[in-house]
Amino acid sequence: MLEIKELTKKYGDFLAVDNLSISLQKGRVLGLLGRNGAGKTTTIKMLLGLRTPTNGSILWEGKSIQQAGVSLGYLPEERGLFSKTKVIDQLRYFGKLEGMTSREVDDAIHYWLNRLEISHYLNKKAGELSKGNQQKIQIIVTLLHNPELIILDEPFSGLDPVNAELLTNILIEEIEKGKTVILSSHRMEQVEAFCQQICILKNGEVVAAGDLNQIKAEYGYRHLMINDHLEIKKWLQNHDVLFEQAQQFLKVRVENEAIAIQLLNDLSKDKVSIREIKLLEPTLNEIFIERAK
Amino acid sequence: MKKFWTVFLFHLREGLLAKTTIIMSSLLFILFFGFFGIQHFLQTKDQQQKHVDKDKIVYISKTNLYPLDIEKVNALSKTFTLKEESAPKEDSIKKKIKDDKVDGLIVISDVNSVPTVQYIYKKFSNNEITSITSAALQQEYITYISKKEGIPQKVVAQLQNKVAINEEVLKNPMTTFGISYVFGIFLYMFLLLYGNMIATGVVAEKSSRVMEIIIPKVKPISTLYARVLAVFCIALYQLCILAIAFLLAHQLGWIDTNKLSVFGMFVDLSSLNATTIITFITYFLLGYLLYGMLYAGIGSVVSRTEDLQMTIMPLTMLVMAGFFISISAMANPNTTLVKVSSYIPFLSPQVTFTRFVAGETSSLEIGVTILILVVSIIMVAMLAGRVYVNGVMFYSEKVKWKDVLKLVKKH
Repeated sequence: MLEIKELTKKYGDFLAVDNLSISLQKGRVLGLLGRNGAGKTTTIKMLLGLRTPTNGSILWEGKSIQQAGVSLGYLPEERGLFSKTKVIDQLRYFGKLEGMTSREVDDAIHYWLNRLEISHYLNKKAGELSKGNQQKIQIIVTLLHNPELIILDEPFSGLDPVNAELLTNILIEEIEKGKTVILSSHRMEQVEAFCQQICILKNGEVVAAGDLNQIKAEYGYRHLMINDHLEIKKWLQNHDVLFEQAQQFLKVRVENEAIAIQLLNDLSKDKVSIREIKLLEPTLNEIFIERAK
Repeated sequence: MKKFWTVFLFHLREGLLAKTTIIMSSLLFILFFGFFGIQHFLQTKDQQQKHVDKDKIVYISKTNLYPLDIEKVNALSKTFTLKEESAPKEDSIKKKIKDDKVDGLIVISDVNSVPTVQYIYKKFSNNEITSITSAALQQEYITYISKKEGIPQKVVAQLQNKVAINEEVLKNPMTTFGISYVFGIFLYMFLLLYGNMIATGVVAEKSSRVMEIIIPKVKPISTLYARVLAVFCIALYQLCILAIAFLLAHQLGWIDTNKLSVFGMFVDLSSLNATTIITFITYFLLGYLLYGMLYAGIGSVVSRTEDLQMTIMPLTMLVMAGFFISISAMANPNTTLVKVSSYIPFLSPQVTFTRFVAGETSSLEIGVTILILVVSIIMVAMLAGRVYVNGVMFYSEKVKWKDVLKLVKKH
């Protein structure tokens, strides 16, 4: 289990991360969210040992993460490759730094190059590849040594939809293998698809943290979906209720479940016939905007 | 330790296979080998040219007392050939000198039985003509006077015996100038070149964010030492290339060890013995380690390659100061500045070595300077290590020296 306890980082007078505490069970995926400068990267760098916390601790299986010897895979937001070095040489180098034997490294390299459909770039220099292909090499560097803890900072950056789909499948496989993942991304639909837990930071402080479903449930239903019908449309317009068209439905934003029920009662009183209704939870994007703004 | 060797082998391989290293090694070989080749070619051509293009000098005698033995003079001369003409042709020969058809005219006459020589040339005189002609005429004059005065030839021969002066130089700085100069240039170039190579590598890794991938895998201090050692091996490899170029040129007979000179400075290879080579390697190694650590430490606080040269300027100045003081130590190895500098670790690799070659350092002094250097390297390694460990993750637009000091203090 990964435990982050009262983690604080100060740069002079600037408080980058303030008293952050999170627990993440093995095999679970945490979405680390926040606007630019919220403290996500500083948190990740403390996890990696690149920054020393001003206060607090990071534990893996009860031991300090640096002493626990956890196998860690890190995908940085910016590319971290030797631009003038051949792909094969740098992958071997990174693999060997993780304690892999030459045989293990070569087997893993060939597996991942084939898996990411870039085996023909084996002898190319990283600097000669497109941004998307460099990102694929960076993904291989992250996963080559089969790490227990994977930290991904904007993993889909620079990937076209086909390659984004490929990476999605790879991430699903890694999660199914029981890997513990920390995912930092601004693309909320991806975080929502992968993460069971989230942590939203704002100016270094945690503004929302915990199980994603629980957080959503705490927010209650936020949208009432009513089947699209002219009579209903007219009623909503006459009663100044804002709505939007969502395919076969009319989507009405409600503050809570009671307001939704009240609206349905009013429609029923006026004998407006309703064929189908749905109550929807808020999206992560909505929660994020509300909390991180 | 395994990771240290992984980092070392990676940087060594990358360094040796880098285009810049291959181009520089090839250039060093071509320049060094070519230097001796061109020098040999020019010397040979010069000798051949001199043989073919001897100055044409015409000799006119206006006296019967002092006839010149032309065959003897031509045999002695290396730079001119003498040809006799009759006196009436004097004016036409002068015209030929003006037209560059003849290089000079020697007219010998006598005034009251004392020989006089007139040497006519267009622009530049040939010193050999004056010395050989003067000596030959002097001999003729002595023979004439001794006969006239009845002095026996035996007495004349005794009077002409020269007093020989046997010179013995106990410490001739000229003999060590060349060796000091050549090794001084090597040290200067290698410290600057490979120091820069270390710093540039660190900045490149940092600016490309590779450092963020590596640091969680291996301790920063291991990467520092592995990099410094790898670049040292590349420096040794290029020194070997220079040695091969020298030996090859020597095998081809292009190097006359008795006349070897660099930029007109005689290099006395007889003073190059095993002790000198071992001393050079010792100071080279210690100097490199000292500066290598400093360059890596300073390089680690720079975030952008374009800011590097300004930041490492103080180190460059130190290397330059060491070089210039060592140059002054060649002629005056015992001035206060030179003596003091030979104990300052940042200057001693260059200065003390020059004093050693000049024979001005005792074993004790060598030992003390080496000890100071070793202690300094240990201290600098600790400080540079601290700066490096904290500096590789320090990103700043502009590097300030107070930031570097903060990084040293930081735990």
